[in-house]
Amino acid sequence: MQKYLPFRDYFAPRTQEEALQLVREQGPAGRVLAGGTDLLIAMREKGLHAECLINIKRIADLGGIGSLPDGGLRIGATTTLYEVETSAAVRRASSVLSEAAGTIGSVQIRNLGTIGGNVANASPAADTTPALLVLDAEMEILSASGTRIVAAERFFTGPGKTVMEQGEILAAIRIPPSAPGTRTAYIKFGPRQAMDIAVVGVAVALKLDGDGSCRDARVALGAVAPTPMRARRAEVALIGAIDERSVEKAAEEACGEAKPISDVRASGSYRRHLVGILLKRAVKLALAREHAAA
Amino acid sequence: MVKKREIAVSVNGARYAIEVRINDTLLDVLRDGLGLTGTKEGCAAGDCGACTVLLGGKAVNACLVLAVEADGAGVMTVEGLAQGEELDPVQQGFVQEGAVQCGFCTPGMLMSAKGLLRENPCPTETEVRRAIAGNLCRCTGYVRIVRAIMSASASAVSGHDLRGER
Ligand SMILES: Cc1cc2nc3c(=O)[nH]c(=O)nc-3n(C[C@H](O)[C@H](O)[C@H](O)COP(=O)(O)OP(=O)(O)OC[C@H]3O[C@@H](n4cnc5c(N)ncnc54)[C@H](O)[C@@H]3O)c2cc1C
Ligand code: FES
Ligand code: FES
Repeated sequence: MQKYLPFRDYFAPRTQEEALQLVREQGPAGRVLAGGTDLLIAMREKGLHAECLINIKRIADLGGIGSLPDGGLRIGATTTLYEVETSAAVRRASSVLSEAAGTIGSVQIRNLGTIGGNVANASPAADTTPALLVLDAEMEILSASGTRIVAAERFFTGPGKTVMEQGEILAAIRIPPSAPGTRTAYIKFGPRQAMDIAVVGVAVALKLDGDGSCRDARVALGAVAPTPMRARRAEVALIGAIDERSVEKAAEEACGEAKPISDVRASGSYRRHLVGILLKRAVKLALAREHAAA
Repeated sequence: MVKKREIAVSVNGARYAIEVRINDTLLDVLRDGLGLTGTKEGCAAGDCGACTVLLGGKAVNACLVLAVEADGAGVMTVEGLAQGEELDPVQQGFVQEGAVQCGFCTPGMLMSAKGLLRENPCPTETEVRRAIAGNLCRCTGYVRIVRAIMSASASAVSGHDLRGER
């Protein structure tokens, strides 16, 4: 491991315009620095090369949690994972995201790490991304030519890869208002209760009618494909009356949809097995919860 | 030539204007620049928590923060806990409960505990365990550390049973 961080320049812009200009000028040699909990380690341990770091944490417009005209939530990219975990507004509107953020690393990591960094880093095992998929979240991407919005599901293109291009910055994450009667849960499986990357992560959101039947379902899986993924066949299986049979069927479908690899953390077949188990647990957990959204 | 910058930081209440290399970590500057060697380096990768300090009142890994990022901020290290001869309640708790063996994890543990109690003066044992999940201790088995933090909290004062809760 190399302790010395080999970059030659550092900037801490105060405005989005300055940051965009720096990102443009520096090109591929420049790297956006948010919490640094992925970036500095990639530079020290994995030989990632960056000539210049552009710290975006001093840009007020990229931080903070606000509401959108449609009643949705806008979470600035530099909002820390700790804020996402503990914010009353996020808990109320999208408790599955708070729940997922709270499973990441340690208090120290959550105080440094940002939600924008978790998303932009695009690890297939990131914890907030399955939650963002079941919430139908959208990514607000900023460039010199303006803002574009990309659905979370289309944002990730591979391990460490997203649709963001050179010169773009992730500005915020938008969460649409959730329908009344929505119940959610995120379950992460790893050998330790804390400080471990997910072997598998499963998020669910179930929209229930007054009679308890399921009108719409979202299931998203982490760490079982090159990107976080929706399990659409499992979602279909959950619609209608939710009983043991439909949940069993959904679990089977999700296992089939997952495309896990084998690595140091787990074999592919173990991951596939876990998907079914965790899906059943997540549905059960979600159903046991009161709908929290206002 | 590595670029340098002057930063203004307040460390344990004292203000400093110091020149740092842009790629120094906050940990490097605290230990080598300011001689505050209480804060330890274990892994330099965010895993062990030995480098925990409060930055803007929040517990963070000083090995993952660049010194230039701390420009304008307030930092508290283990050296800032005691007021003169008077130990901070968390230090008092560690002494009373015998929560220190080799001592390498202790500064980080104390700062995680301090960070917790600032926000949540009356934590449950589960909350204490969650707060130190990012601090490794190879010696004590954690039981006495958890007790020490509980005894320093308002939970102790309010008669909360320190040993009962699972
Ligand atoms: C000990 C430890 C434990 C961890 N545990 C977990 C875990 O359990 N679950 C988990 O999901 N992650 C975990 N992580 C990974 C990491 O903490 C998270 O992914 C975190 O959210 C990264 O955010 P950051 O702000 O630190 O990103 P940074 O490291 O600052 O950036 C990460 C990448 O994203 C880019 N980037 C950041 N922000 C933007 C932006 N706004 N626009 C464009 N590009 C941007 C950077 O250029 C860089 O390439 C862990 C890390 C450590 C060190
Ligand atoms: S030295 Fe910073 S976490 Fe180990
Ligand atoms: S007392 Fe030795 S590591 Fe904790």
